[in-house]
Amino acid sequence: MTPARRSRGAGPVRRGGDPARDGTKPSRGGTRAGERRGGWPALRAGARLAWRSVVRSRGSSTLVALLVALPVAGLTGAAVFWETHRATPEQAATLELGSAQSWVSTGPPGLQQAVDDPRFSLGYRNGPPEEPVEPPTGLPAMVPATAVPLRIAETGLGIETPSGRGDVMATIGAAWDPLLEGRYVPIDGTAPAAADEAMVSPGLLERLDARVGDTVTLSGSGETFTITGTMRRADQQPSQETLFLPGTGAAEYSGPLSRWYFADWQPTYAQLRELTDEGYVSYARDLAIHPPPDAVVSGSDALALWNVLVIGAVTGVFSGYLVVLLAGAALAVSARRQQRALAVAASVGAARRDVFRVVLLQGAFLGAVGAAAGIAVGAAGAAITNALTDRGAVDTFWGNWGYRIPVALVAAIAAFALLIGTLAAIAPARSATRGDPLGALRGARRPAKLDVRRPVWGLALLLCGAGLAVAGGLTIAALGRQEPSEGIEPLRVAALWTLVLGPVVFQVGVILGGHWIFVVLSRLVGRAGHGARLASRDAAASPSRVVPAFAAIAATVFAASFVLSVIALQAASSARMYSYSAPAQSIVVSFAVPDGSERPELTRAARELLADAEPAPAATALVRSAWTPPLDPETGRSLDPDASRFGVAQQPDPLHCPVCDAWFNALNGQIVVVAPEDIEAAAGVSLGADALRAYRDGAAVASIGYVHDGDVTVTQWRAGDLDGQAMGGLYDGDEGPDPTREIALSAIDVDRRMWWAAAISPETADALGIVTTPSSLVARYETLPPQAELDRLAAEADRSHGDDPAATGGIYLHVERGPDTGDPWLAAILAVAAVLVVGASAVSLGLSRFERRADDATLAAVGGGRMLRRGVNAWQALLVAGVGTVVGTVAGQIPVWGFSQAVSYYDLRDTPWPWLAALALALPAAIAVISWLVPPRHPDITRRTAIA
Amino acid sequence: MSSPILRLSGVSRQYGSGATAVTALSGIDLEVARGELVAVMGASGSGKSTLLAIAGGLATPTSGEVVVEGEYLSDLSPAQLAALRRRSLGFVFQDFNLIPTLTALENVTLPLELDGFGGRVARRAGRDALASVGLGERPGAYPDELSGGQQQRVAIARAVVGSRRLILADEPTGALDTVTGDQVLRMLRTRVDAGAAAILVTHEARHAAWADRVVSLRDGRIVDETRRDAPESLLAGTRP
Repeated sequence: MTPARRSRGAGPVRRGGDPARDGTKPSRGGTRAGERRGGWPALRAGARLAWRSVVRSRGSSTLVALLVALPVAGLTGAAVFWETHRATPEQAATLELGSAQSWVSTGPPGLQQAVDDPRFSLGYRNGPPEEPVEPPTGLPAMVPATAVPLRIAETGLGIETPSGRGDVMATIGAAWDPLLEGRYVPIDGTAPAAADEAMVSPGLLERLDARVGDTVTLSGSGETFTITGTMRRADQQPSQETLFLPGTGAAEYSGPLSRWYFADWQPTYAQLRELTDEGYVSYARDLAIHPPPDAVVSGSDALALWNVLVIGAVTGVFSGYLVVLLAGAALAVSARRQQRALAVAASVGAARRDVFRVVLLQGAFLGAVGAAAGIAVGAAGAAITNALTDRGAVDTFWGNWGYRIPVALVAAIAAFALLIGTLAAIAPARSATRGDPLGALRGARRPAKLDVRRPVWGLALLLCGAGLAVAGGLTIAALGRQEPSEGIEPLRVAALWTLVLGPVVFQVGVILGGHWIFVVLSRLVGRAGHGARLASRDAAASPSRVVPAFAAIAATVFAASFVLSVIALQAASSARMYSYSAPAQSIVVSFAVPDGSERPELTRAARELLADAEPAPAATALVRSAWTPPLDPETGRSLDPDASRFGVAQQPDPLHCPVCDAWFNALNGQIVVVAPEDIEAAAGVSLGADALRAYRDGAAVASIGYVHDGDVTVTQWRAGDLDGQAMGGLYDGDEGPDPTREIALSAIDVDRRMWWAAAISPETADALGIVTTPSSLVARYETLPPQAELDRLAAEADRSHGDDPAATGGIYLHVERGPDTGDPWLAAILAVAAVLVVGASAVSLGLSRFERRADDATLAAVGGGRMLRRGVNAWQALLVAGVGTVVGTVAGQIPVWGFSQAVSYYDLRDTPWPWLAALALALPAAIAVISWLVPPRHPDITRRTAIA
Repeated sequence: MSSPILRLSGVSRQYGSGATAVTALSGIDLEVARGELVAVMGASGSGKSTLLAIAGGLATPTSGEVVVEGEYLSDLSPAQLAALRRRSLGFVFQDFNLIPTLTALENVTLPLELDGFGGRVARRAGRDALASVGLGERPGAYPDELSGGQQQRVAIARAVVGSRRLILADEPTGALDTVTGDQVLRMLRTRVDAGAAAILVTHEARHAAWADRVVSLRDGRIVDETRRDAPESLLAGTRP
């Protein structure tokens, strides 16, 4: 009998009741196929199978959990550390007030202040005053007579130190009063009981080389105080140098930070508004802790939280992306090991969604395990970091408010971990549902095939991403040549977005096209020997293991390549704009001569100072500057209007001189005079015999930006013509004065930015009529002396000053280290990228070694030696890491190019090629060498898979 | 004869195409009735396992129809095929194919739990099935704690748990010694005699002697079919 054919979808029906009942005929009214009595039992069975598989696959499970735990630990540690360093409103009030109820200080009348942060102002409530209004000096009238104020001021004071004189922070007033406990922290000794007693911070005590009971003397007034104990402000480290004086004597309540603290009085919000109108600011405990709805608040807490969330989200998304890829590879390997079990489940009725769920649940479980471990490690790490960084200075990095866990943030991080664990399992789960259960039941292991759809999509997205970035850069470049207008700004914004979006699309293309790339590579390198052939074909046949690592490496290196280049371009730009005071790596002893007169004793003092330096400088150079005609201090006009001033004309060069069409630019170049025998030391470069001869003959050593057609233009001005001319800002070249003379000197172009515009010899200066005075003595070093020696020299220089340095002059020492090269940052970024790349490579190569055990055994069985197997490992490392780093490095340069079109001072010639080469080539080469060095496992040639 | 639980009509299966095409099965017509044990014999590559996979919905025929308990498998979605395997048929493999991370009882109850039966009901049915194969005392043992014969008995219990009446056994004694193999076949026979239907794929004529009917495959075609009760049957009266 032929059964009646049922339409698709009607499906077999299930029997109701006891599953053990041997029903003879299906009941047609039962549950439809694919539908179940309830989802819970199936979910429970799937969860059981997933958890047992997780436990059984300890290696891959540990790897996945570890990968999830790493960013979770970092994020949790950062969140806990941040929360621990964030004051609650009550703690912030205690830091401001101690146990007082409020403080009141003076300020510009009419300003609106935030109730939680009086330093934060929203400007004038009724607009700025037309006439300057002096702030009040006394207590506000609204303060009740019964409220007794405690006045505290913070200012700077000079004191006598064992090595001379030093400036320190001073707190004037009874800061040790119990009312202010919480704002100030007594440490040792007793509070001053007399007007000639004081307390100091431990740091100042150390600097004074004193002990409690010794004295401290103010350098100005000569007042001496007996030190009765040590204390500090709660947000300052003990090592900071602060003097705590009673509110008497010459230093009484001077300085900008002067407050009245009240133990029993605080203003209402209405009173606070009155206070601000009168020229006071106030911090009131109740208003700060519980701001009224209409009160102005600083919002600094919300801003800080927002910043933390944004930084955390960016970090989380990037690290999550890497973890999803790498954990996905590990889960794919694990799922392949389970394919037989999953096929068995399918053979007993597990639907695809059941199989999918089993693998997905494994990811979720491991995400949960990683979350728990990461949160525990992160929380513990934050506690340890707190302990290591706690120097008692609350509200700063070096102090904390007590260990607190931000529950909501940590819960979000846990959810994030669960999410990335689950996301990592999606591709392996999907792959598991597509397997051949029959083949799996028979134990078949077949290589993956190239899916022809993915190369198309992958290549399309790769090109699309690169194209978007290039189009964005071109658009920005085109817009950069136009005058900005409202009409084109949206286009500029869109172009910037394409610069960001392009690389993202590129990354998706990397993932989708990765398999195809390795298939092509396997054809290309397959002729390079057995090792290359085996490694490349294994990579091509194992996309679920290789492509995620490749994509993770490419993404990491992309980011590193981009950031390395931007930092290098920025650093080079900063170096170009850097205002040198001397050649880099030099000590400059400058001479301060108020009347501009020749002071040979200063030059002598400078030479003696440097002669005493340890180590001695490589060379010294005396530099003279053009004399500047003095001005009348009252009128600001030249005392001798007919005197000459000299300058050097800056040449039009957008890169170095944004505004070069003004008279100002013809004057502002500094001209210095250096003897020919000193010029190389002063310039910091070797000029050569020809250049030195030219210098003696009247040429000028010129800085970049001042040379035009091989010449430097020295300009001479009448001092009176410059009187009243505003200096700085934009100028119209037609409106300024004209020089009285322009002298072209042959330029010795050293093609670098110097600390002068032009240097000429004394003979040339005499010929031009330039009057000069010694301005500095430059000491050149290959490596600067240590900081302690520099401090000693600076102190020695300070001792040369008289009682009134402004009147008598003296020598001053400073160090020219040159611009920041950005190298430390580049090294740090390269190190971070290297760690991530090595980590991703290790995951992929470790999984590869694990999965290739059978192939290794086969290789050994047919006579392949250890060298061959080492070669396979090295080649695989080179392919996975090398392709990732090269693709990532190249891709990272596309947005850099785009941004260089948007930022005029970025010069692509400053691209850090050696660093990029290290990233793209040296790093994978090193990984390949290490992979070669790590010995292969001893092959188990008795394995059935090896000899089957 | 009662209505067939399994019917294959003109089933063919071809792998690949063109010059590389391989025909695994060709025009197979086969019916298995309730209470009937059919042995399928043939050399390696003759299509035995493919026949079993197609009968169980693990593979699809290139042409022809497969009907299990009145259901045309070609009409069923993957989810419906999975439901069919949960409710109507069970596989027994040569390598046992128990899930190593589940206990014997959990292996047996898996189809029921996947089908939505509650834990208590599934466990009761699972214990009954294990008891019926003589393993009622070791429900908590993991597969690696059981002997090969015990593992295969667990697999049979899993194949028959609940209300399933079609057992597809692919060389179930291939990994067992003779005595244990005979025990397994006796168990299979018992289940069939209790009302189930079964296909037994085997190499050995001695094992085929347990069957009511023997179908011989060669190059994907049925080349011989012998009934136990047929006068010309060489198997007549040979059941162990």
